[in-house]
Amino acid sequence: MHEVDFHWNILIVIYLFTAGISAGAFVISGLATYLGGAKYKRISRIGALIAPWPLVFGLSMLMFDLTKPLQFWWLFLTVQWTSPMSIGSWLLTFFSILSSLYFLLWIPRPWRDLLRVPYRWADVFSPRRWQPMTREVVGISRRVLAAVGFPIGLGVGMYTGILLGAIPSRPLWNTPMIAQLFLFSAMSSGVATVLLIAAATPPAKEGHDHMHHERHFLVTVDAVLIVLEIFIVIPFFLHQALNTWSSAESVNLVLGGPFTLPFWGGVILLGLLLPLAIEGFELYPVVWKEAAVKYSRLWGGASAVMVLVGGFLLRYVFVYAGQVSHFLPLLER
Amino acid sequence: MTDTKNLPPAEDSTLNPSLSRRQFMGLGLGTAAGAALLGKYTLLQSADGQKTAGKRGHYPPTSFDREVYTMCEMCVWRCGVKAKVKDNVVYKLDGNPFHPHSRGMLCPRGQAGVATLYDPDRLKYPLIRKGARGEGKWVRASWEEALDYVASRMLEIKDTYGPEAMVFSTTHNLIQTQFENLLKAYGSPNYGTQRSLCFNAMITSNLLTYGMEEPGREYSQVKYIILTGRNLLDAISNSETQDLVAALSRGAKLVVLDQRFTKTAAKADMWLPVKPGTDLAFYLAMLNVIITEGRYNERFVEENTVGFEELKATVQQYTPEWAASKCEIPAETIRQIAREFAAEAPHVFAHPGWRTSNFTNSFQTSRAVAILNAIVGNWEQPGGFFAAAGEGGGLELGSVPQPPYPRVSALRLDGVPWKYPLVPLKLGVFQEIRDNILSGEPYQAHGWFIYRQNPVNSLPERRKTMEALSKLDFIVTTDISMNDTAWFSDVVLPEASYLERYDPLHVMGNTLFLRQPVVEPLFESKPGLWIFKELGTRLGLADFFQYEDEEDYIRQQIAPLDISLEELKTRGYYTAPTEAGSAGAGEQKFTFNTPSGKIELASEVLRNSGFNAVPQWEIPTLNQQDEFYLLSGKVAQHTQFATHNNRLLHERQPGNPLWINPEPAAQRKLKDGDMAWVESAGGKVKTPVHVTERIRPDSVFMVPGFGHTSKGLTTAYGAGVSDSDLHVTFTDPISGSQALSQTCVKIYKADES
Amino acid sequence: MANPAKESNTPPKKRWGFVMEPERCIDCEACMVACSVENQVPLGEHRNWISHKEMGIFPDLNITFMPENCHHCSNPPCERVCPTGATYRRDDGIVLVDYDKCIGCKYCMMACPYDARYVNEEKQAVDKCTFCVHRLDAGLPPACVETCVGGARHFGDLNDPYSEVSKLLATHDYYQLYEEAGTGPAIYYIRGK
Repeated sequence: MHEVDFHWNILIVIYLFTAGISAGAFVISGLATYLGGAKYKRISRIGALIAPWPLVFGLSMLMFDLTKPLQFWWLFLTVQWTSPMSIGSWLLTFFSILSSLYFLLWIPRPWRDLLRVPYRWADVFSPRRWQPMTREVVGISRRVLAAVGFPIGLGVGMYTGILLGAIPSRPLWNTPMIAQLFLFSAMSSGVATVLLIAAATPPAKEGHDHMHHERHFLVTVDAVLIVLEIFIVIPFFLHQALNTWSSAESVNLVLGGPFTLPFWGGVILLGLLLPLAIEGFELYPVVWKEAAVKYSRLWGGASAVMVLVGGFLLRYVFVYAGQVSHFLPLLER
Repeated sequence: MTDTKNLPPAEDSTLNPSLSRRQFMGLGLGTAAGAALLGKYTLLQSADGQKTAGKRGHYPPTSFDREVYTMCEMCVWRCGVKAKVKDNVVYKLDGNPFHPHSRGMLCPRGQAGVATLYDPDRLKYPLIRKGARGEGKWVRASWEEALDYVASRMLEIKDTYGPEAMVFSTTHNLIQTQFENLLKAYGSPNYGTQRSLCFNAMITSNLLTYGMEEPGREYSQVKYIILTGRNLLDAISNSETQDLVAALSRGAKLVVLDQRFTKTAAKADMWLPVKPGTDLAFYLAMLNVIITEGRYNERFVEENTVGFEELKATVQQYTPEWAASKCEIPAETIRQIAREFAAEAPHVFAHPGWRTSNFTNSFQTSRAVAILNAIVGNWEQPGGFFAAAGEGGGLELGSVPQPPYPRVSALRLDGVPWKYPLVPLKLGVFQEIRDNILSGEPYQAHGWFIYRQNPVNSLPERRKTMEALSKLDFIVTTDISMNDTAWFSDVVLPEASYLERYDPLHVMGNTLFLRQPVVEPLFESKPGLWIFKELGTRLGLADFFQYEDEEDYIRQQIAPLDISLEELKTRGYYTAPTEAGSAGAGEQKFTFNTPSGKIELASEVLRNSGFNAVPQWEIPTLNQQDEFYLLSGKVAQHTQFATHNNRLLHERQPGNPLWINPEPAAQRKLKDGDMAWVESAGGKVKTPVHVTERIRPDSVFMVPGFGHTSKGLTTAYGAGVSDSDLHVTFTDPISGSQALSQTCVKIYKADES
Repeated sequence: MANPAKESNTPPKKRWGFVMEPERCIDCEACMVACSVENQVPLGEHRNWISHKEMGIFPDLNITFMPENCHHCSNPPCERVCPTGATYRRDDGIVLVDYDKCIGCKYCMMACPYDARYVNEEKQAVDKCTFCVHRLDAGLPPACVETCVGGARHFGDLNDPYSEVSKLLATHDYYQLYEEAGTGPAIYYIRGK
């Protein structure tokens, strides 16, 4: 193995992973809001309530990784159009603001009513006259924020991949497909988090039927994302292996090198194939027997955890193996 | 004993690397120097570096308070140095462009000089041993106390056992003349230098052949070079290394004989991994081919050499085929090299070398090399040999007045000349002194004055050296840091480093060079010239040290010359006007400082002492089936035993894993980086191995100088292992040279950790 | 519109660069030590280095030594990815770090194909070879060039056809490292015999 100091360490892995969860949770929440309305309300709410937090955690990790943590604000004194990190910082800022507002809108009553807004221009400077939001205002606001945040959420998911992909000198990273791979993995991780929390917090009142709809929706979305991921991973590795020598050598790190086990065992088997099998098992009655989705909190929770572990390992493998991958020195040719 | 009541406790007075900032201030050093020495990461930090937030504040200075021209002492090549000083801190050393040895460049060791000056392990004040030897407990003493004590012990030994019971030793350095002055005035014949551990064989052979220690080499027009025992690109001698690279770049052919694929071998046109100890066979065959095929320079041989017929008769038997069976170089290759070498003559030379693989037959190898050069007539030819500057003649310096030395009647402990009749008196046989301290024959030594030297690491068979030290009543060591020998001494005197002191002038032909202080000595360290005078005075030898101070000494040296010390200090050198050359152009008659006045192909001196007058084959020790030859050699980043505590150099070369060929390594299931035991008749060490194709399968190699045992060297302590633990003492009866490669070792895998 | 006649009167911009002769490099590392001292590089880090490649089996061997440092690219990936604009390129081609602007995200270290950068804990910023810009501005060559014992390192203005480096390039076959990365490096290596 080429000797490397890993200048980007586990903190960066955590950051990329948690940013993905946030983006995924926001996007699935928005999707549920538009596609299901009341039917998927619980999904929308869980997604919205989760969305800001992993990112906040991840950003604090990122700050600790800086040599000068207290000078992170230098990032916001400039826009460097050619630097994915600069663009990403701004994107994350907008996303943080949007997802926080969105979070506020989804706080259940009566706590939400503590939040008051002015209803007339004249009241803007007189907070005492502000009122709690009406159901209509909340509904419209949620849909507006979901619509605006949806592309930004996708952007954040994609950004975690582009951050790595924009670097020509790391052959493992430098491929157009890494953005999609990270995007779908981010979405999948977000959905899995929602799935996990949904499984852990069964509603007391609502009926079985409702749960099945919810379950059906989440599992379907996740299964589609996993399939998409698989269809990216396969051409990704084929492409890399058939590309320049440096590229081919870089995927060797993953296919038959120090990162083989976390990749094949962790990312592929645990993170993609096993959850897909479980989800297939759950969806099988719906597709073939027009029956309800099979529902088990245990299986549902297990597949969600597997997806999350796989998603984390994907970022771990790419961040670390990518730093090992390098242009082959002239002398090795 | 000194009064220790008023001194700080022993713990406090040991070499404490974490000297506080306040202590620094107390010593009168500026903040910059304090920061410089204490910086966690850097050696130096510009005084305003952190304060000025502006961009330029992050860049080092380009203007300095002064630039001082002085001389390097990171090895013995003596390059010119330009030291750049700001706020009394030495920031950077550049090569002096006006000095012929540096020409504006310094090697890594020279560049790293600041880290020797600002080594946190520098000795700060005189120390007197408190606990047992080697225990590391010291009491801080004033110079007054320390010198009084040393003088009293030395006088005690002189009065009780005679001056010969005191051994003196030092390493090649500019102040050697004054050190010799001290020991001769004291009256001891026992003087150890490093030379028998280095190149006695080469020097003795050249003295007996050319009447000079080491002929110079002219590279500007050389067309063909053979290097044996001279790894010029690893063992850098700045200007000569520059010359070799330039010659190669110009297209000169290079043949390298070495058991290792050294960096020099990597640049050679032909690398001959000769069997250890058999270089002599190669050279005898070279002589055979050149003489039998009539390719030598007949006119030169006739006019300038003696003993050719005897040589011719002797080398008849040494055909290339015969040599091939000894040295494992194909006969055709030897023939080819001999013919090419002769064809390019006289713009050729076979380098005298420092040491070959160094067996007891190395003297004869060096003789054969000297003779090969002589018969192709490269003497004083462009691209050939010449009488190097300093080999007689040159600038006449003034001398400090002194009375004649006392007569010495005692035998020398190093066996010269009673056991080693041909070893020059000034070279000596250092390892023999150690052996005779141990044996007590022909008389028992009682004291040892060690100046800037480290015999614990440098002499073979460290075990014996330690035993010898334990037999002595009194040991005093002078150095800039706590070397391994100092660690076992009774008194340690801190010397000023080469950037803080004057040394006697260095003369090269018509030019002299000055070593002068760049900054004031740190702590209480003192220059050698001061130490010798003060000690000499206390020994009742003040008449031998008739100079006020160092500057006065230099002034007396330059008195006959047309230059003042102040002028000399600004330039660092002085060239005397030359008189018109005496030798007419085209004249081919030379005189040599030998009994015959000619180059002695056959030496009557050798014959009369019972040795072969012309080189003959001598079988070297052969290794047993499962044994390896233990080879020694240099790296560009370290000098002998002295630089391993330099943090910049330690960083570049932190250890000395044992080189071993993959084939024997595989037999022993050793992978690169595995730990192995290396065992000889002298001892055994455990070391990581470096598995490499770059060495013969029958040899292993270890860089010397590592394996420091002094805890006063915090960087070097525990780094690598010492080959002095392995080397067995084998002395060449002619030259007194220690046969460094004659030790054979067994290797076996060790458990980890 | 620019006036071509007027432009031709202005002297061409400088483009500082290295020409290395690996054949003359003896791997003594004087360049590394000189650089450490000159630039006060923290112990354990370095701004220039020599890569080796050993080839062959005993006794048919070959070693090449390649002196290297920051390539001061024409299209520096480090500059492109820097989120704060701390890494910048001077008119004469020298790529520098504004140590105050650098927040230490290490993105540039990821982006550099030559691994030329390190974190300088003292400056709290990412650091690298500056071509000894402080010396250049004072009219001196970089410290590594000045002390190169083998004479393997040559430095000068690549845009000046009469400079030593330009003459070397005009008369020798040469190559560069990782040109395929589109970096436009300013270090040229003379091909061996």
